[in-house]
Amino acid sequence: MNAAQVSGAAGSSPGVKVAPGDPLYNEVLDLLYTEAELLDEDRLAEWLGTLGEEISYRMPVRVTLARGEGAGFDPEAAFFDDDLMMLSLRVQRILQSPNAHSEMPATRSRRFVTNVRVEVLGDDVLARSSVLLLRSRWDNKHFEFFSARRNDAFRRVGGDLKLVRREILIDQTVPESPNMSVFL
Amino acid sequence: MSGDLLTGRGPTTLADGTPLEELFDLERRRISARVFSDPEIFRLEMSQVFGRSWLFLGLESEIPNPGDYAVRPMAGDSVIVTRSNDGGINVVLNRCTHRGTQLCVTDCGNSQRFRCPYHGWLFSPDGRLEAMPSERDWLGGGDKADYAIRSARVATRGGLIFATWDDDMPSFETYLGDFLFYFDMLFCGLDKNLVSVGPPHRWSLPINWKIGAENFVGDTYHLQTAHASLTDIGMVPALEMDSTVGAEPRWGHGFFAPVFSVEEQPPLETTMSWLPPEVLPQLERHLNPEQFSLLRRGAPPFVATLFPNLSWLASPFFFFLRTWQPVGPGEIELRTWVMAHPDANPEQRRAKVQGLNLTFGTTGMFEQDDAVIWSRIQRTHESLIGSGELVSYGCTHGAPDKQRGYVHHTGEWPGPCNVWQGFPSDDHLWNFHMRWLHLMNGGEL
Repeated sequence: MNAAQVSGAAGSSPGVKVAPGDPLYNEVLDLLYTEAELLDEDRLAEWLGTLGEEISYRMPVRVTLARGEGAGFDPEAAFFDDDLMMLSLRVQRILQSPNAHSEMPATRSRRFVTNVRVEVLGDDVLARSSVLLLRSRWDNKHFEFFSARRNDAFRRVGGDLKLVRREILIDQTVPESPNMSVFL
Repeated sequence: MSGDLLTGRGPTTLADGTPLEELFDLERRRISARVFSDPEIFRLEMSQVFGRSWLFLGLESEIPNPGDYAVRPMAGDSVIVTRSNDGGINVVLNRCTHRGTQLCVTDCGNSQRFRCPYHGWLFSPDGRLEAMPSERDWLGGGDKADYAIRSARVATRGGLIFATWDDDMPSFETYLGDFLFYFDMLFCGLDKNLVSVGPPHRWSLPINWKIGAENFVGDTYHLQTAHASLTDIGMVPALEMDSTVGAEPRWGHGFFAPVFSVEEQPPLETTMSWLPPEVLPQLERHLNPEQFSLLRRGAPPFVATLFPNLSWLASPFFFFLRTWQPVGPGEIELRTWVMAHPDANPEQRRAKVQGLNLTFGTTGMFEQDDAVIWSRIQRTHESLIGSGELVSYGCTHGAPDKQRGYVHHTGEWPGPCNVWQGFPSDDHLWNFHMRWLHLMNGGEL
């Protein structure tokens, strides 16, 4: 349990802040909104296209520790520790197989992205954001939900910013959903 | 409700007058869905099954140092698993003996004392009351020793920690029965015990615990349908149902093992590639020739359930343990530990985590689908008519014997337990439920 190994977990600011309204801030905000829209609308293949080839997509396992002992994110155990090939397999399964029962029928999800902070660090554009994902399955009365902070790193490839690192820091230690067949 | 629970004898009758045994069609191998959803049955199985069995709590590697602790569930109760200064392991109820406050709401840490936040009672890692404010005034002529926390019996084997509340339960090794042979193949074959990579993954699922536990007894019948998506996209080869399955007839454990013929015997580096290759030669030293010959044929217990709710999957690439933790009749918390060898390097450890995430766990591409299918089962089990319907198990292959049933392409099976080969019969799943029924009816341990 070493929270220090999870980058930016304690709200550190390694880079140079980019203020709201700055063209770069607006570009990142637009990217995050576009991404949420693609995922909400189940346009998963298009979403894959927005990712950098070197993407690291991680959601560490979390435990409750005493105050002062860290945020509880494990440096190794993870719900996701994916590269682009692994993410592509997940998407391919959902889109191409009629037997991906977790998303057959598709769950309906809505991502609320907020509290966006942007920084520049070397070649990377760093973005922190909060995300709330509400997910409705079949005719279930209740929503499944995940809330998390995301630490993202974007890198410019050609003219476009591509997501190259995402760290998803969830607030629950015991996610209350039969599965995470959705992306945050 | 029968009064037989107190004496531990005689068949159990439910509050509406139904004898528990009537919920089982022993001849046609059917079970009433009520067994998976009735709150009264759930309460009974908490005391009759979980209150008596050896339950898995975690790995010794999770609490390596004196004062280390991990908070874990034993059925409905929270317990603290602690490491004493002398290296011993204790399992104490997570409860102050004064007014019953839960002592620990963190998941893990290191502490030489557990202090109750209500009146300040202080407990040692082995549950002794060490001090309290105004000790002389509160105790009067009493004795602090009377206020020790209740402890469970602890057993460890191969680095795994188990506990039971029942003083009459035989030793853990006795409890394993003939399954000891297979347990040791995975956990006692190396110089060092296996460790877990980080804390367990946890998530909650709306199902009865027995649905998951029986699946991991070795339901190979579901593979080709439930998991067809993985073959659809070419991630895994065609999933075959034919298999070798086994059952410990006395204690209810069961397993599924892939078996290669002697001719196609792949090297251990392939079939056990989740271990660092340099430790593989240790296996032959620690295991007996029969155990080793099965490992050589690629046949460790690949998927298994140790009754009641510990399961594992030992694929060639990764290995995980898990508990199907009962929370309510239709709710479990699933905890999954990724296993690794202590000498594994960071890359090898990471590969195990990634192997799990892609396949099992809440993000795994196999288990994502199991989870929703199981929750669809639970929906019908909890409905008016559905709860009175029956779930069905396949016809029996009969008692296996050395001439028939065994290992048609690999020669005689060298291990104990009842073992069948070919199309899976559900004999091993049924065996799990028969052990459950035995305990629920107050049968002897």
